[in-house]
Amino acid sequence: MAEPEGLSFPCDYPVKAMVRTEQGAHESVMDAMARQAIFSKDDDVSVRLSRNGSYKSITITVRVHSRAHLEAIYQDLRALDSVVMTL
Amino acid sequence: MSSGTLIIQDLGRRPYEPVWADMKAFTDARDAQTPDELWRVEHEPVLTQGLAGKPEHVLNPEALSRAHIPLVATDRGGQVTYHGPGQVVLYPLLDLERLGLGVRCLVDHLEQIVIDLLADFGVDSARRDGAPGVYIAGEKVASIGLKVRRGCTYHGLAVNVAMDLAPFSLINPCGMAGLAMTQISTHCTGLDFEGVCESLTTRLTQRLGYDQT
Repeated sequence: MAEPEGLSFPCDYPVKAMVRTEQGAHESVMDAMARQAIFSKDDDVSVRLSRNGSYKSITITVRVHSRAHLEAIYQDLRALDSVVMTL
Repeated sequence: MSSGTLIIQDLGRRPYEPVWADMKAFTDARDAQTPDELWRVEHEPVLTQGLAGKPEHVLNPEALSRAHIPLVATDRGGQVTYHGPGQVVLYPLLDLERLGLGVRCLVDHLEQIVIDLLADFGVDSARRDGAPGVYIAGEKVASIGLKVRRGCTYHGLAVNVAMDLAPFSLINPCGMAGLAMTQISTHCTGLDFEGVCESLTTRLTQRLGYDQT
């Protein structure tokens, strides 16, 4: 997981999660993030599919208020079954 | 600061030589405004020799020709290596001057994304002094060979994921006699070829500070 040094909070931080593209994976990431932060699904989320579409890389840029907040975000994401990796 | 956009191209499974020719052509044609690109490829079986490559590191030319594995003399650094199906190959076509990055630094980043990916799955790996690449318990899992022309890179990183390692026995990989090769599938489950490829892409994009794609 990312260990960003020298961040001063609050800041806008690009949280990255790579998921298996199974039913509901994208939504579960969106739901987990929505419980932690306010973001726009149109403006703050970018998505890239892997070569054959088996994986999806999701970047959600959110306002992070503290290191504890950032850690809580990653903890929630890593708890999701479909999440292979977070950065 | 943002490094701008990194365009990601999936080339699929391709023979070596046309991709090499395309990389050279891209690098020759690019100018100061050309966005950087990352090409993701899986090669048909091939041995590639580096500029300073010594022919004696190809141990068994007859066996190679029997196996119909071509040997291509390339313009990258380093010694002979093997590419084949089940190996993720990433070609970062980057303007190093524009990125403000030295080539040694890029090699560090390429090694680090592999080390971080493996660590994420509980596998310890390391660099080795004087021999670029990533090693698991002394066995090589990832190889790096770059070419810089007019401040821009081509060639790149090869990571063994789930492949037939036998052709490596026909050479001294990277010019090192007795160097054993290994691959990710030997050490962890849960990441296939595509997952490794995607994860390395995301890690590299983040490390080099490109905008999210």
